[in-house]
Amino acid sequence: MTAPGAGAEPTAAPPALSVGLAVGLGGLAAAFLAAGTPLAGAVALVGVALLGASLSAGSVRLCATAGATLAGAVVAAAATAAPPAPIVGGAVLGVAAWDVADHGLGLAAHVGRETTTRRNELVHAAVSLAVGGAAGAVAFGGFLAAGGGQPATALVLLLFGGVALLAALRG
Amino acid sequence: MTATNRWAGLGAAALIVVGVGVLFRSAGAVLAAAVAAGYLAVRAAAARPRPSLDVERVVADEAPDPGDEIRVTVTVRNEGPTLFDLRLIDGVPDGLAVVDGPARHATALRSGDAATFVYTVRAARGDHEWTGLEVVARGPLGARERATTVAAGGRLRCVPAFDGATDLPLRGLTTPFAGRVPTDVGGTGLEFYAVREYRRGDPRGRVDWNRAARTGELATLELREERAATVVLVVDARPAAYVAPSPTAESAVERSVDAAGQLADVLLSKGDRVGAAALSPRTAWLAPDTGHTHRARLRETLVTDPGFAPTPPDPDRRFVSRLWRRQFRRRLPADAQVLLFSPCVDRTPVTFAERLDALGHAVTVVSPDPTPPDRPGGRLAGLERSLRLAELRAAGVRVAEWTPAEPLAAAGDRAARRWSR
Repeated sequence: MTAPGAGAEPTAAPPALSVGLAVGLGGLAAAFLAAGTPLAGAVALVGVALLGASLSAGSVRLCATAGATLAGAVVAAAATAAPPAPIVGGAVLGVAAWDVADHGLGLAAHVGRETTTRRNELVHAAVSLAVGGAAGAVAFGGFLAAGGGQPATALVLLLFGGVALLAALRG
Repeated sequence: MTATNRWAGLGAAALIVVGVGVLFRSAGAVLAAAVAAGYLAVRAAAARPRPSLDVERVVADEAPDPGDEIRVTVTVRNEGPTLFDLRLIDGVPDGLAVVDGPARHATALRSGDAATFVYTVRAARGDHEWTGLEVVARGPLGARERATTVAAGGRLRCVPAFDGATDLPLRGLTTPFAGRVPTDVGGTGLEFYAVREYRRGDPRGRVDWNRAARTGELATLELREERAATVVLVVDARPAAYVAPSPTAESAVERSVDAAGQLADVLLSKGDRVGAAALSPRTAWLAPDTGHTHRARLRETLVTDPGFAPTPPDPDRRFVSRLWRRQFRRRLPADAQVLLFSPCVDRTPVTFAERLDALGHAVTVVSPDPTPPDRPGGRLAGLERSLRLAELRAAGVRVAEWTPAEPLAAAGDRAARRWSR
C-alpha cells in the first residue's frame, strides 16, 4: 500500500542549456590556458571534468572544487611563465564557466529540470561574460598601454593596490 | 534578503593568484586577479533585487468533474526595475496533482515585461484555493536573493455527481416512522409476516376470511412493517486510511467518500434520515436529518469539509480514538445505525465498530480493499486485513468487502447475499 499523491515533484537536475554552456565555456578556458602552457591546459581540463561531474551529480560542493581547480590552472600558468593574454582569457572564461554551472545547480534546486528556464540562463550567462570580459579588457588594455615590462617595485605596488582593492570588495 | 555566498571563495583565490603572480613575476596572473576584482566590484555595486510583481492566475475551468485535466495559466508582470534572475514556484493547493508541466518557471524580466507559464492539474473532489506564488529574485550575479510570496487568487471547485443506484440493505434498527426498511414488527405493510388471533377493532380487510370459512374462527393477518431508519455514515479518514493499491490509484478515503455520497443519495430518496461523520483528527459531524436542504448540506459536507479532504491530515495532530468515540456516542441518536467506511488497515475501526455494535447501534462496515495482490507485502497486509474483517463478522458486524475493480453496487449485492435479515 502506498500513499497517493507523490510523484509530481520536478527532477532536481540542472537544465541542459546550463550544462552545455558551462562545459563549453570551461573547454574554451582550457584551450586558452593550454595555448599558454600545456601544464595549465592539463589542470584546466581536470577542472572542466570536475565541473561536468558536479553538474551530473548535482553537487554544489564538487562545483566549488572544480572552480578551485580552474583557479589552480591559472596559478599553474603563472608558475610556468605563460604569456599574459592566454591567462587573462582563461581566467575570464573559467570564472564564467563556474558561474554558469553554479547558477544551473541553483536553478535545479529551485525549479528543476523540466521548467522553461532558457531566458533566465542566457541572461545570467551574458551578464557573467560581460562583467568578466569588461574587467579583462580594462586590465589587459591598461597593461598594454603601460607598455609591459614593469620594474619589480611597480609590481609590488600593484600588488598592494590589488590586495587593498580585493580586501575592500570582499565584504 | 539573504546572501547566497556564491562568490565567497573568489576573493581568496584572487589573492593567491596575485601572490603567485608576484612570486613568478607573471603579469598575466595579476591581470587574472584584476578580472576577479571586476566580478567582486560588480557584486558589491549591484542593486539589491526588489521584486514588485503583478500576478494573475487563470484556471481554465473552475467547476470541473473529478479527474478532469485543467490548465492553469499564470502571468507575472514586472512592475519594478529589471529583474535579472527570477524564479517562480506556484503554490498548488494540496489536493490537486500537477500532471503536466511543473508549476514553476525561471526567467528574467525587464521593467514592464510579463512572463507566462502554464501547467495542468487533475481535478479532485473538494474546494481548492490558490493563495500565493513563491518568488525568489536574485541580483545580476546572484550574490543576494530575496524570497517572497506574492498574493494571487484562484479557485477550483470540484463536486462529484454522487448519483448511483447503489443500495445496501440496512439493518433492522429503525425509527418509529414509516419508511422502506423491513422490520420484525407485525402491522401494516406489504409482505406477509404472521397470523394471530382476531382482536376487537382489527380492520376488516386484514381478517383472514379463508381461514374463517374453513374453521369458523376469526384470525388477523400481520404484515411486516416497513419503517424509516436513521443512518450515520462514518468515513475513516485518519492518516492511516489514506492508502491505495498503487501510487496512481484512488485512496481508500476517496473511494469511501464516493460510496458514502452515493449511499446517502439513495437512502435520502427512500426517506431515511442520514448523517455523516469523519473518523479523523479533523472532526466533521452532520446530524442525521432528511429533506432536500439536508441532501444539499450533506453533499456540501462530503465535498468540502476538511474532515473528508482528499489529502491526509497533518500526522502530528493528536488523535485519541477513545475521546473521539466518546464524543461520537454522545452525538449519535439512540436509534441510529452506523455505516462505517474503512479500509481496516489497523485495529482502530475494528474496535470502534465492535463497541458501537455492543451498545446496540447496528453497524455495517463497507471496506474498500487497498492491498495490492501482486506483491508479497501487499498479500501479507491483505491477510491481516481479512483477519480483522473476520473478527468483525464474528462480533456480529456486517461487512461488505469492496475490491478496487468492482463497482460498489456489485460488492453490496455480493455481501448482502450472505447477510441474514
